[in-house]
Amino acid sequence: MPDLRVAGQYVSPIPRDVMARLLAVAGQGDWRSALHDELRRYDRSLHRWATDELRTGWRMVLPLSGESRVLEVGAGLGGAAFLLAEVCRAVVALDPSWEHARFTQLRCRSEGRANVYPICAGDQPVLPFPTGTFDIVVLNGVAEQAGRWFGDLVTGATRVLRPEGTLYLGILNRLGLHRLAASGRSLVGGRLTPTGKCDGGTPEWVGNTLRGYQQLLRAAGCAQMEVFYPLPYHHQPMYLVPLDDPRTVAYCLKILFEAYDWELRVQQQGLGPLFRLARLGSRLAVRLGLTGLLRYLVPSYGIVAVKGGRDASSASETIDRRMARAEAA
Amino acid sequence: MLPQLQKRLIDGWHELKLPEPRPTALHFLGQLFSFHKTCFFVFVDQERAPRYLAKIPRSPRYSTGIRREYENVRSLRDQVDQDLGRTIPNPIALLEIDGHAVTIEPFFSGRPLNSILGKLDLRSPATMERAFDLATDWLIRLHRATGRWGDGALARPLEEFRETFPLTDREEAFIARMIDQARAAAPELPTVFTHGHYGAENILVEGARRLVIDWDWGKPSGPPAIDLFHFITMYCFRANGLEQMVGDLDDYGGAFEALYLTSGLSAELARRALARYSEALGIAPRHWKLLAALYLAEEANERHRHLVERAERGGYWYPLRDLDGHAAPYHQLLRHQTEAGLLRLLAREERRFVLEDR
Repeated sequence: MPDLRVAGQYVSPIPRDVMARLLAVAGQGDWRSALHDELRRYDRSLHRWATDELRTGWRMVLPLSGESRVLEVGAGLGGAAFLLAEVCRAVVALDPSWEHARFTQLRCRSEGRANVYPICAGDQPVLPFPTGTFDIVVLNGVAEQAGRWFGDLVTGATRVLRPEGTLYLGILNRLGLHRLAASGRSLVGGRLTPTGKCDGGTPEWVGNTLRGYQQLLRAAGCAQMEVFYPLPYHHQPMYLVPLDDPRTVAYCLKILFEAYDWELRVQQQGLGPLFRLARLGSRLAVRLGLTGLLRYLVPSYGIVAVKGGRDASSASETIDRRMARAEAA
Repeated sequence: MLPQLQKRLIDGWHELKLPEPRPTALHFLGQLFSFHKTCFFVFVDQERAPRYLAKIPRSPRYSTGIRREYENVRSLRDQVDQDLGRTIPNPIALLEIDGHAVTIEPFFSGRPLNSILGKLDLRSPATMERAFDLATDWLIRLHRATGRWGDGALARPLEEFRETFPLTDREEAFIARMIDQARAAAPELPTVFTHGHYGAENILVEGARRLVIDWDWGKPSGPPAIDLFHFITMYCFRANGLEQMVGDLDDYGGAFEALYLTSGLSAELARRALARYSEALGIAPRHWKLLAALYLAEEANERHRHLVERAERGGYWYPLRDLDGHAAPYHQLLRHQTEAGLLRLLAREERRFVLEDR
């Protein structure tokens, strides 16, 4: 397994001793028991992060096929890569943690998923792949780790896409309405990482605006974009709401607040005030014909961006030259 | 998937024999909280409401569920009259897209019954009675249309339960007696087309119209009354603030006890619903305990089978996700089903079973 760490630092929200047991049990071929008996006992939210298939509903908006070569940046313990590999030709699961990549390797190997290629990227600032390698690149919930390097990451991700390849960005919205309520900040903003903490010393990442992301993507060379709201937030989408069409937004509001009975469930999770606030906001928006504005106020986005037909981005050319110089050195 | 689905629908619009002209654009609103499938509301061009519903498995390995549901409703629609057929989905097409089985059906704009009930006091006698009546009426129609006598191996769910789940001697003796009763009762009890997950969340209501959805757990030939037991039991759990069967067994045990082992309002209303159903299907009330046992055994078996199947195919779903502090290893937990626990409770407390004809 490629290990691109400069120094052998330990980078994971999971304590070393728990991780060691996880790897030991998984190394015997039983990754399920490893996750359930070791990780769940330590932290249930981390366990869900690693196992819950429902967290990867964003896959449905991607043009995945049996020929797709996919790069997932920040692959963690391989939960999404494992599922992507079912339908794709190849999945490269990139993670800064060697232990995460190793677990992914053991997990996929025991299930015969020979088309998953875990790589420990360490703290490499540049994605170590030639330009145009991948059909799809996934950056879901990675911005919170990258912090101020996020712009470079997006540029790099677009660079390694082939022309007309697809970039998926799952990311926080700085203007999200959830920031008005403490429970919302806790739900969305608090889950910057699977453990709810900011790791790696990055300052708290509050995200950018939709316009900001769109500008960033255009500058990186993406020609078309489709914007979804992965409701309630990008780490756990229960709905995928296309934000480019106010009619679907209005209909989604109708489902959420009238057709289905979510209030009991959200109350049990301590989100009653946030739910009522959102319901009031939605009624006002519908009444005043302002549902189109909600696209700027949702807590997070799932952005599907298609790279232009040619590598016209000056940013990607610059990075290619930088890589060439680095390799020569 | 969505890009491929959009292309397939637009390019193949005429082959699908859909009534509208070929659209220029389709928009998809995704609903992702089912375990093995996703549902997308399909908006055609500039329309404000969805026109179709596309069901897509989360993974190709869940395509069998989509196909099974498609076959179930097709088979069911052949057995029932037109009036009853209007309460069952009518899929237009079953497509194969990149290894995924995808069904397309007309969209029904009704609200789930559980969301209607959610605005009401579930413990009120009027609400409970109304809900039980609604559920019972439809089941009577369905099971009258699909009932077959002398057809089934009624004991099979109990036999499978005995093979799968660890039991004490006393529990094993109860299951053995129930198996004997099931074999003896086979000529007197019909087998029916069961839904398998007949709860308020799967009954859509729009005015006087109904649509019963989610037939992937359905079986053409199953024990009678288990769907009614499921509806009543889930209703009463919800009335006690309990969601799906992923919480603490003690909580569900308490609610189960209040419904089936203690005389009270809910037990009386359940008894009335069962009595009405049984009279319509020609089932003697002395079989109710057996049918309750069959209901719990069937549910426990299905859930266990479902989890094992997912695990064997490389998927994973922790079976008791909200159970704090449970330290049993993963493989043991697969057998620690709430339904199995409740059947074992019934076995231990069978003398207190209150749903009997009076």
